[in-house]
Amino acid sequence: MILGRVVGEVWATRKHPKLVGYKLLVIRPHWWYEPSHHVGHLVAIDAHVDAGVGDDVVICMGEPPRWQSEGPAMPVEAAVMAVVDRCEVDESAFEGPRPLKLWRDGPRGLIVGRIRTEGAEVTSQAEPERSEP
Amino acid sequence: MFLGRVIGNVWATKKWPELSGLKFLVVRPHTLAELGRSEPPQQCDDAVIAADLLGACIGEDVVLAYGHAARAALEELAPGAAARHPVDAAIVAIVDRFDVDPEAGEEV
Amino acid sequence: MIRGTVIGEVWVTKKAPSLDGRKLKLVAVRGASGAAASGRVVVAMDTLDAPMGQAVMVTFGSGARNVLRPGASENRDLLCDCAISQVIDGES
Repeated sequence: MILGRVVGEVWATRKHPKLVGYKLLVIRPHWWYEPSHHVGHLVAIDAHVDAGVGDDVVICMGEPPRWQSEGPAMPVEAAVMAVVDRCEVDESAFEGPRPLKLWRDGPRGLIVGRIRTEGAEVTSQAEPERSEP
Repeated sequence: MFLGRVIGNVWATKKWPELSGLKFLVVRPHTLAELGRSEPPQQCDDAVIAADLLGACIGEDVVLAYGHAARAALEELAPGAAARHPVDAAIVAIVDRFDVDPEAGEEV
Repeated sequence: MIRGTVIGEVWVTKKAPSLDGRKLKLVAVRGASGAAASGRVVVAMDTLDAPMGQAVMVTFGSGARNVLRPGASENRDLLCDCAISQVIDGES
């Protein structure tokens, strides 16, 4: 699955009948995604979670999105499966030769602090103050 | 899936028999920056040929699906035989309108 | 399947049923040599409670669904395309 942010919505009355009743959301993936074309976005159906613009979401790709309704397969490649409450990432991911990049602070609640494992203990710095988006 | 704009048609007489009756359109994928600004494609630097069952016209924005999803879109043409259609891209929706954050395409 | 390292976790409340009782981890995919990060990060379902920094094996597609609920014909609607399938103890 990938993390992305809902940046828009698409409305269509002329569409494949299996898409009737599903929201079509425009997603900007936060991190790695190897699309067919380098267009920086993907369109996903919202099958279960009622995500809105500005939400960070988890997107499932491939076959499962095609089977979210009864009957023949839906003509879809991507489905929103969850809205992100909070995300934590080890600071080391932002270092080194291929560091992660963030767009608008990345997924909601991203803690960019060192999360250290020392023996059996896991310690983390306090979450820095973040302004509301 | 992703959003694109229909920029042309493809006609073919010599083709695989499974493709009879299918319309093919040239679609240029939209970049996220273009979606945010609602501007027309700047130049045709990338395009895909997609099967169309919905009757999209040149200039219309569409939602494109690839792979198994594209073959699933053809299910109504030949129920049960979709897996055998030699198609890897299909138009699954014609866009009435879209609404995208104007800054969505900004570089990190 | 690919090798990766757990670099983070994702918490969700509004979610599809396939996520009930399951954790989501961020996994940095390692390159072909296995050592350096490839720059790719995926969200993987975690049923093995892999801790931060743990080396793991991640499986995609139908293999991922089988990690959660084995049986190819009964699990194709299960919303999951990526799951941690093994915790790697050591490798040469």
